[in-house]
Amino acid sequence: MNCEESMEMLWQFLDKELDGGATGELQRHLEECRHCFSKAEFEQRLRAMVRRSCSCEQAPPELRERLSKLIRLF
Amino acid sequence: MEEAVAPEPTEVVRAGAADPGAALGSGASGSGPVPAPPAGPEVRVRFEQLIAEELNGLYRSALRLTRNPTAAEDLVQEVMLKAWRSFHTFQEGTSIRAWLHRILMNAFFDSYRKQAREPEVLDQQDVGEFYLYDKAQEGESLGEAGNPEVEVLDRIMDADVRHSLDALPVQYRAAVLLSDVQGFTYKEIAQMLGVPVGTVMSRLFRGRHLLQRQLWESATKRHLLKGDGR
Repeated sequence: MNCEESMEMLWQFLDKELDGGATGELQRHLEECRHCFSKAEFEQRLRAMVRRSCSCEQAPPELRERLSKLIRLF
Repeated sequence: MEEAVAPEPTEVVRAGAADPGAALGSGASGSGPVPAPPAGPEVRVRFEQLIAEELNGLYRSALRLTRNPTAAEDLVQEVMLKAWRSFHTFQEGTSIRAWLHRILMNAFFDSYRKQAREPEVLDQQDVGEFYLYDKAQEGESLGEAGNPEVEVLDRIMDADVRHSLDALPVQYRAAVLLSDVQGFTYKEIAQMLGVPVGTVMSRLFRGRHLLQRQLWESATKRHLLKGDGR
């Protein structure tokens, strides 16, 4: 697997949508290629940051209370 | 999550889900006749447990879609009531989070299409495959020591990420939200959005690149990074 092929597969790899064979090939390439590994690591960190940043807001307590009341009505 | 639930209400729910297509059927779409609400206090207790577990996640998704806390609350309320009315069609053992998000997407895009609040301008500008990484590698804007790409990520704030995601056109925003924030599979997202898996992949591809461009712009605007900002 060359660098171009590995970067084409990177998104599917990060999305856990690659099959086992392709995953193994990509992992081997990343172990051998510092440049691709660096990109992959960056995208993985960015992904984790996006998830973390969008996971801190809480639903207002009033919404929870209102929903409890509403499902008793309907 | 499902394992934590007492067996009695599970049986009640299962008994109601006789129609194999019902779990994601008319009840979830918001169109068609509204099914009768499930009876029995034990079902209500189970549903209330689910609300407690899923409400924050659903509210966050609604917030990213509507970009407005009041509209997000209204949307979540609509979704939870729809879910309650069609709860008997939910198939035990499948993902409740995916089921609720499908109802959420249907409700949001139904009302979005009716109101057409935001013209769908799809940016066709090429943004490069690894926009943010490449920008960081240009390096001039950052300190000379260390890894420039690590430094870029360290300087981006959580609020920048939310604002950047909110700035994406809604189709891309929905795809990135469902994948990168909520962690759904391509197949689940395709079902939620009613599009083929290939469309999900291309929206994700485009959406992520646009997100990276937005992140760079938003970071440079706040003078966190020196850059051309364009």
